[in-house]
Amino acid sequence: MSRFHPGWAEAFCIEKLRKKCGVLCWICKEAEMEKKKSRRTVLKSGLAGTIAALAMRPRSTVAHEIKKYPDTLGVLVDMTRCVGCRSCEAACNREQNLPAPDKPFTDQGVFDEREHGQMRRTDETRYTVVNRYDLPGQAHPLFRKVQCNHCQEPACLTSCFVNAYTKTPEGAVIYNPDVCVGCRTCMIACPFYIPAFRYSSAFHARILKCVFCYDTRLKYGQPPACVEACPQEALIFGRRDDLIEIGRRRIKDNKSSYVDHIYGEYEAGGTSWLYLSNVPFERVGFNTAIPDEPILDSVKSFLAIVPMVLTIWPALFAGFHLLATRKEQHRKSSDSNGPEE
Amino acid sequence: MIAHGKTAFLVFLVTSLMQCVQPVASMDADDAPKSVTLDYLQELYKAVSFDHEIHSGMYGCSSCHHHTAGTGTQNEACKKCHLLSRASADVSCSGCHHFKKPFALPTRDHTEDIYHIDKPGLKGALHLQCLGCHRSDGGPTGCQECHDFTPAGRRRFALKN
Repeated sequence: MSRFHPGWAEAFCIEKLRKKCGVLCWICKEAEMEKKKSRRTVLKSGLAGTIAALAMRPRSTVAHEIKKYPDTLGVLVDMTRCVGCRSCEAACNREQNLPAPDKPFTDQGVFDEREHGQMRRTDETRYTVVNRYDLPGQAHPLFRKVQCNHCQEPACLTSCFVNAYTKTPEGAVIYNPDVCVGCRTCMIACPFYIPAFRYSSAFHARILKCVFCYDTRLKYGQPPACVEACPQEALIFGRRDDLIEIGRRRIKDNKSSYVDHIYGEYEAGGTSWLYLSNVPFERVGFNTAIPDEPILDSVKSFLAIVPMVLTIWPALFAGFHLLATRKEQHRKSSDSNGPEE
Repeated sequence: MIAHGKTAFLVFLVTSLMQCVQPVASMDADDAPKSVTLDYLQELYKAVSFDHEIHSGMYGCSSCHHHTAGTGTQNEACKKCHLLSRASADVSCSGCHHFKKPFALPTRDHTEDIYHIDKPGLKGALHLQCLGCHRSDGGPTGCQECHDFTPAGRRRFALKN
């Protein structure tokens, strides 16, 4: 059973409907037992409580099946190695023919930029950014590279109702602008806030994000431009399974240098991009509340009933209406017929 | 005769053991080059002249050459197998850390070698080695302190000429 249920998805959970509870899972006994605490909080404090309760739930240890391509490729990012040179940003800019930046890529001042109090984010002019974290107790600042993590079961893909997204066997999550209608649902669905929207052009609206250099490199078995540019080999490219093995080896051999976790191995059902860090991931801006189950699991039951609701419900309720009003109509007609008899 | 034979055997054993323990055929520091030109990133950067003499004066060979210089090793991971290794025929960085370009689909250099699965390429090895020390021992750490851009490099980094 999925651990991550936004309230609305939970309310329509068809899997639970099939179980013994009978009615909506709001009053499903099984769910009640499991989530007594969170339910009470929900009732007491509404939406804020829901969010808090969801975040507080214990991490599931149950193994789950992830659909994944064999020999899928990925990148391992070792944050202990990154020195913030921004070579990856420069390489990405050229590879993807992005507009020239306002400041050169040698400018380290960009690390202090804040927009709405947030560090730099990927947008239509940059598919990857590096952010600096000055943490107390660390001899050197830490740098975190942000780009699309290329989930194994991408939420953007699931949420897209025109199927603009594709997960390729090589591992890339790519996007077809020709069918995109610009609804931006993928921007909301992405647990990493990666897809960016081209707001600058009203007539050529499209989603922009890292595509793993699929068309120019990955398709041919070559690493993305950022990986090739990295002087420190903080980014290494390879089969995802090999990268996990390498990550584990680094953690095992240098226990004091790494936290015992590969971010992306399980998060959101696993991602093609994986991270190693020497500080707990939440301290360098990672969302550690992301569930291990694919985001898809949280919403698929809801999404599955959308067509049903749209097609069956109108007919069903129209039928109810007819049934309910038939008697009245009958009475009316019999009333009007009455005096004649 | 038997006692004599035993002694002879012991002497043989001890001498052969000593031969193993002694760092044999260690590379002489005088044989080392005074400077090394690093010019494999010519697309974006001008060649870097690495002053080998200064560095070898400040640090032992094994500080950088792991176990290949035949002077023992300081790396805990290398020690497991290479504590007593002799000097390799090729002690240069590129002898082991190959410059990976163009990348092909990732293949392992030594499929039978389970210990060197995570060996950095030449670019990574040099930067990790240089910057690792420069950060901890106060050497220059800025990119342009070692690397001068070529015109292509300036364009890549969006620098106005």
